[in-house]
Amino acid sequence: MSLLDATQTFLDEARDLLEQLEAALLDLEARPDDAALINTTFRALHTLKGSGAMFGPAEMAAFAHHLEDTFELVRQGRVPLGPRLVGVFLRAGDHLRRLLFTPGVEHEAETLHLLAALRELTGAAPESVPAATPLAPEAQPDMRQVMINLRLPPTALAFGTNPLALIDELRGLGDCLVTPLTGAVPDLDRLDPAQLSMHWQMTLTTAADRAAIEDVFIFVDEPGVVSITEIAPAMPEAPARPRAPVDEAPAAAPRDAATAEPADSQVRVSAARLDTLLGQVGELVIAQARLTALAHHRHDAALSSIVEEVERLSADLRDSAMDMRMLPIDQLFSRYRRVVRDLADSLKKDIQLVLSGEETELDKTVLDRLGDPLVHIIRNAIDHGIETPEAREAAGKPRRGTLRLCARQSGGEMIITIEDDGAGLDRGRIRAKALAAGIVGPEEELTPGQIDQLIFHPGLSTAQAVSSLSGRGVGMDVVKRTITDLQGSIEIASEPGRGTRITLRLPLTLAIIEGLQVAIGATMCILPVASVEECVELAQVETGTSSGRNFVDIRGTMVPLLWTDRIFGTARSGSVVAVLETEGGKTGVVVDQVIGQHQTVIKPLSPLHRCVPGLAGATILGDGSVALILDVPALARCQTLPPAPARQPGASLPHVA
Amino acid sequence: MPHPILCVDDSASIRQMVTFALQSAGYSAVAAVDGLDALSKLNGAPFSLIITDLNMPNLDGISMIRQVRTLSDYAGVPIVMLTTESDEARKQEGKAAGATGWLVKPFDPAKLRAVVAKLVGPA
Amino acid sequence: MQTTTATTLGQDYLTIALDEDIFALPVATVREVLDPPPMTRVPFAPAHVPGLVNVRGNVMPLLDLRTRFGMAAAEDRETTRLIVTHVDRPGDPFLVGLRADAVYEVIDIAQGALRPAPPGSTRWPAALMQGVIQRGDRYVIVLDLAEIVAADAARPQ
Repeated sequence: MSLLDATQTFLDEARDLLEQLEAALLDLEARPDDAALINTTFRALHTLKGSGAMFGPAEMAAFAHHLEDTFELVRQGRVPLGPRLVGVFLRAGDHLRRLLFTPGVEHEAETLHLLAALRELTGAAPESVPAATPLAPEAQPDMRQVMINLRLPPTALAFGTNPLALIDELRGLGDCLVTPLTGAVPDLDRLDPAQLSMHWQMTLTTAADRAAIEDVFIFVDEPGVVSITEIAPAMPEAPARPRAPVDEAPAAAPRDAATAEPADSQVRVSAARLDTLLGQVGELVIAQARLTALAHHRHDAALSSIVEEVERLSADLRDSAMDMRMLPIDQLFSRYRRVVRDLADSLKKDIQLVLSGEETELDKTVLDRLGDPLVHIIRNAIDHGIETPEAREAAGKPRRGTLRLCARQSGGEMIITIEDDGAGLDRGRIRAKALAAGIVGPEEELTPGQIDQLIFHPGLSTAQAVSSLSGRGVGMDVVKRTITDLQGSIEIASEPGRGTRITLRLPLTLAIIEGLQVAIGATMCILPVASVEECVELAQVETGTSSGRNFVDIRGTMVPLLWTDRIFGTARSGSVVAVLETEGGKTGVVVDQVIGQHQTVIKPLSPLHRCVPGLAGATILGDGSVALILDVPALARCQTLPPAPARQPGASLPHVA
Repeated sequence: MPHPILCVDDSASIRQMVTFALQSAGYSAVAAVDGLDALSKLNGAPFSLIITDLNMPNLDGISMIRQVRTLSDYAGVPIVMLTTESDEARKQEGKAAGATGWLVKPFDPAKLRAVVAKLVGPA
Repeated sequence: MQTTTATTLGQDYLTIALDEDIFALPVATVREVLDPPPMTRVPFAPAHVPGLVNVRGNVMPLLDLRTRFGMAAAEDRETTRLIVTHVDRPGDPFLVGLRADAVYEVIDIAQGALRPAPPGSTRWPAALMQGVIQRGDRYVIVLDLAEIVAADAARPQ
């Protein structure tokens, strides 16, 4: 009843949309660059597809989908809208009407005919549907234990996610032990109830399969938010293969190097498990800091010695875990073999991929963020760079194009080059597009290098581009931004007829540090975790003064204190000491509060702040505010200087016995 | 009785289908034809959920989501966006703007009700 | 005191206010104008670049033009704006957010209209100006961006 109503509404709506489509197309014939008309056309096709898929005949929706995809090329400026193309779209509109209002008649021949005409005019290959990631069907035992870590972003509550509802839903799947992790929850007086700072760890005993668990968290799909780990891995062993007699191996086949590998040399660990481990190590380091503080308070020698042992172990564990983050870039490169093959196939191009330097290691976080930009660059090279075999032959080149992906380490940098031997950038078209988009003026003289740089301009690369590979559209501007965010740089060199080379330079590890977030007054600061030895409550340690400087007694070692309240001009001095081991010895940084441990992306300073002592960089926190990354030795040197200019008159001096 | 659900879509057939599917499950529903209309329908009134198309005239879905997220009245109110399977980039953009979840077109009333129940509970 | 390309070519300028005076910046260097975002103070920073702001994922210094010109500091007002400006220092380009009391409009300064400031016509340091142009009965002071962000400006107030 209701669906019938909606179907009738759709038919009325579709009639209107088809009229709009026709009118817009006719106007476009006279004004092919009119953005409003292009958007109207696109929206009409988009709605015909979307609503049609629900209320209209399937052939109509599928045909509208093809039209939308093709028109998207026009919208992106990748295909000019000439009179012939308008003509085909007009006929396609008529055909949509037939598919809608005279169903049951044989329309397929006309559908195919029109699609062929569109392909011929746009040069677009039919978009191949991205292959779903093949999921090996896992044979599940009846009951399993699964550990789930839930770390929602701070904005989750404001954005409408209800963590308790998620946990309740999980409870519906089986026995669920829920442990709230409050390590990152600030003190009550600093608590912003609209920001989520709590995490959860749940142990679920269930018969439900992984998909059912993932379904609970379907809307929180950002990387790192949910990790699901089998505690009792019930992966059934593959039945041992009977050893094949040697002479049955095909003689011509080269021996696979992997089969020669000794069985105990490598263990493959899933990325999710590594993330879980790193998260747990982070929690452990924070918990251990609390334990240390408590043990010192108790003055119990037996307890203290165990705590020291735990401290040392957790520090070692942290180092090992950090080391595991270094992964060979092959993790990325090997993915691209398939990408290149499939795309070359679909574009009827003959391309060989040559990889080198796959063993070069890079921080996992950098590696993860590099995936999408690299796919985009590779896709561009195949799509727009390397020509068809016929065109290559005509240009006197080998029919088979070559795409080289090379990684190498140079000093503290990772250098990745993506090089093709294709046609090079079409500077005439880039310039024309930039001109049309108003990025360059008509009389502006540009060097070839300047024109090449335009491909990184946000106005030129459309972020809407639908990639048949990743299913996620990114433009070259997004690629550049991602690389810049990682403190890297991107360069492009292109020679007409000879090819294009894109060079990425990335710091190996520098861009990201493990940071300990602390609050000094209202200012959030980051201390490098690698140099933080421990955090103690100021009230729980002995303090003393010697030659005008304050010290704390950390197990018999006198550690000089750095009073950040003097530097930051806060109203009162802090109550927690973060003890740092730096090249100048130990320093106790007095802060108001230890917030927690985070991976910190270092944002460099402008020349205006580069000479400011004690500041190593900045970073952006989850709430969008800027935190300062402190250079503690430099700050300690400043403290001996006259009172800091930022200091407020009347800020109370810390009094120390 | 929970607050009504706001359905924003420029396609009349989708609006009709969504509102009917919700009403037949016992929810109350209010329809808006685009982002601007949605903002005027919201105007401080309590809603328990917003379901919105992305590609719309006047004010598109993502801009509307961004605007709604600046309004303290609607902090924590879930927003579901209607996307098409080729809109992965838009989906991510929508999430960054403040959407809570999504529904991929085409969807049927049962799927819609399952998502609504997940986010606001049963009617 | 300095020849500039602005004297040979007509160019668009963004006019802004500091106290009662009107200043102008080449539009080509301006990326966007926004309400001042929250700033994180940097200890030991020069007084005219007191802290850092986040503009769409870019961390950039906030440069308070009032302080740079030696005026008394002022709280943010309804009209206060941050002008995100690209400084094309060779080999070391960067973004800076200039804080001004208000932003007015874009004007076209015709070829040759820019002149050195007549002695005594303004109370502001000559080094920070490219020159002035006359609009009606008022002078518009054209800022020398490179000089405003010069590194040796790190002297205390």
